[in-house]
Formats: sequence, C-alpha cells, structure tokens
Amino acid sequence: MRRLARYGVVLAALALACGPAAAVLAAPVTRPGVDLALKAPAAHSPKTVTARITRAAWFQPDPLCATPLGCGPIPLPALSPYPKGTFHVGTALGRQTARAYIAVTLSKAAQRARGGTLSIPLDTNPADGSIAPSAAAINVCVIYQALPLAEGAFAGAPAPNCLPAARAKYVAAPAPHLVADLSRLGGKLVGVKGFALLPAEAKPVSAWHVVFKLPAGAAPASALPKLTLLVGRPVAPHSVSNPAPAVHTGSHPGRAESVVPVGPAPELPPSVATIRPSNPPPVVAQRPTGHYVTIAYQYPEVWLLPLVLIVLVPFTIRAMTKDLSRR
Amino acid sequence: MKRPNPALPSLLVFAALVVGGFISMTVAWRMAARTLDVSIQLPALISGGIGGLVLVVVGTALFVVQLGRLRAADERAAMDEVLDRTSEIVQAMRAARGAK
Repeated sequence: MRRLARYGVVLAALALACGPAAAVLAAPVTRPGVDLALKAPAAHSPKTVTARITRAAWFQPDPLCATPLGCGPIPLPALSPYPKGTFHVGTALGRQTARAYIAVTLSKAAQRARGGTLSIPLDTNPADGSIAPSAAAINVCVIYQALPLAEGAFAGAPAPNCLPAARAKYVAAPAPHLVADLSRLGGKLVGVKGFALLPAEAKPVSAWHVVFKLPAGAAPASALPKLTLLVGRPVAPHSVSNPAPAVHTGSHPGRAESVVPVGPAPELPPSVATIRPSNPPPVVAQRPTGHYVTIAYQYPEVWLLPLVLIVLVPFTIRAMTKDLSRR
Repeated sequence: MKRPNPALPSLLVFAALVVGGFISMTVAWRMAARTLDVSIQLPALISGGIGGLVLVVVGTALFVVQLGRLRAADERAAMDEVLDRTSEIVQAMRAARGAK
C-alpha cells in the first residue's frame, strides 16, 4: 500500500512538472516565413481563368453516431430540413452541423492553377436556415474525388484534403458573400475536382449557419458562385530584370500577390473559361515580404507521449529486474 | 504457498504494446490509403507504420524475455525445491544412521 502511495506521489509530481511544459509546447508555434511561390515572378505570366462551378452538395453528421450505440450498420437516408436547392455549412456549440461541397470543371489550362479566389454569394434568409453568417469561420479544402449528388446526406462525403486549407472570409458589401484566397493551397489545386467548405475549429459557444444556392438557368452573375484561378509557373527571382511595383489586393495585407493579367490567351471553351484582356499593363509583385506561418501538430495530444514514456520506461526497468519467483 | 504470477502485469503491458503497434499500423494504412497526397501519406507511414513496427518488435522482445525470465525463475524454484527435499532426505538418513 505504501509503495502504491509512493508511486502515486511520484506520478503526481511528474504530471505537475511536465503538464505546463506540455501545454506550452502544444501551443501553435508562430515563426516568420517567406512564401516563395507567391513572391516569385512568373516565367510565363500568370493568367486568370474563371472556372465553372457545376454542382454542389451538402452533408450532415449522422445523429446516431453521436449516441453511445455508435453508427448503425445501415446508413440513414438523406433528410434535409432546409429548402431544396440550398447548401449549408454550419456549427452549433462547437460541433459541426453541416458541411458543403462544390464541384468544379477545370479546363486543361486551369488544371495548372497555383492560386485564385473563390467567391460564394450567401443566402441570408433565416427561413432557409441562415444564422449569424458574419460569424462564420470556414475552411476551404480541396477534394480529388467526384462529388455525389446529395442534400443533407449522412454519408458518402468525399474525403477533403485540408493540409493546408484556405480560410473563407465573410464580406458584407455589396452583397453578403464568402471570399477565399486559394493561393495558400498552391500545388494542391492541380487535378482538383472540387472544394469542401468545412467549419473551422470553433469555440464551444459559437453557433452559425451559412446558406448558399447554385441557381440553375439564367441568373445574375452576382448571384453565382465564382471561381477565379491563377494559371502560371513561377521561376527564380534572379531571372527578372525589370520588376514592376507591387500591388496589394487588400485581401492579405502584407502579402504581395502575383496577379498578372496579360497577353494572348490560350484557346479555351467559352463556357468553361474566360481570359482577361491583354490591354492592362502587367503588374507583378516583386518585393519579398515576410509573413507568419503557424506551425503546430495536428494532434497536440502527441505531447503527452513523453509522459507515457516517463511512466513506461521505469515500469519496464522495474519489471525486467524484479524477482519473478513465486515462493 | 505460491504467490500470484508476479510477471502478469508486465506481460499484459508488453502484449498491449504489441497490440498498439498493430493498431497503429492499421490506422496508418487507412490514413495513407484514403488520400493520394504524399505529404499526408509520408507522416502516416513514418509515424504510424514505422512507429507501429517498432512497438511490435519492442513489445514482442520484452514479452519473450520476460516469459523466459519467468520460466527460469520457475525452474530455479523447482530446483530449490528438489535441493531442499534432497537435503531433508540426507538429514533424515544421517539421523537414522546416528540412531543405529
């Protein structure tokens, strides 16, 4: 009994000694970095390509999976409490309640995209389910699988790739919409079949729900989700002889963007892609500017491993040296 | 009176290491198989695959060594029992010879 109490005291002391250190280490580390891909000038000047968003789908978590019984063997049929043709992303009390996907059709040129912007007009009608859209914190991730048709399905969502993810921001004017700068996705855009709109890690008390539509047929351009991609290949900075002044778009202060509308465009189907005219002078962002990259483990619990080792190693040493005779 | 197996807790822990290693490899395989992204597959392979393999190897080695120690201890105990009995027999024979 005394031995047990002694072990307990030792373990408690170790936990007290290592707990704060583990908590500090688990916090995301922010260190300055330089996004070379964004700052490098383009060998073949990047073009902006508007890709077509073909369809959308939304999924919700299976309510059975939240019960102690676990997910049932047979998936529940899709059940949407919202109007047909609306797509949803939401969170309530820190738990995801809905996630949406959009499928895109990329032209051959657009499949080499290394950045761009995704803009999604929002339906802010509370009758359609919209709740506090301005509080939305949404990550945009890429998907490489075909998107199934689904409205409120509990299963069958394509696996999103969120390393890294782009953050969608709520913009109120001129009309409420979400804007995501996809330049952070970089090479992940190659071969992309669509995007997943997932609630970012939310506070336990946060609750919001954004709704968007994909109007069919003739609809004003402002009501349609719009995906603008930057197509071009970056090269080493020393190959540029006459850099032009930097232009900040305002979406990321401090980060120079290499948005360059230029020259003769490759032939693309008009329904799929439109190329911006070549009249405006080339504008290239050349001045390297630092920004901060957040580095952290995806699963901070990994920092508890040293504690496990601290317990396991003495236990093993003790077990391997103790007398095993049974008399 | 024999006391309960003193090696049982450690054998259970080492067996849990082996099981954990297999679980780790299974999870790593699932993570690597569900994406084509090498930047996700590589950490899964290294952390889960190699880490799991290390757990299996180390757990198995410790388990086998501990089992060997347990058997050696049992053998020593049996040998001590034999020697004790032999000693008792020898003493009994001496006592019988002295009585004559």
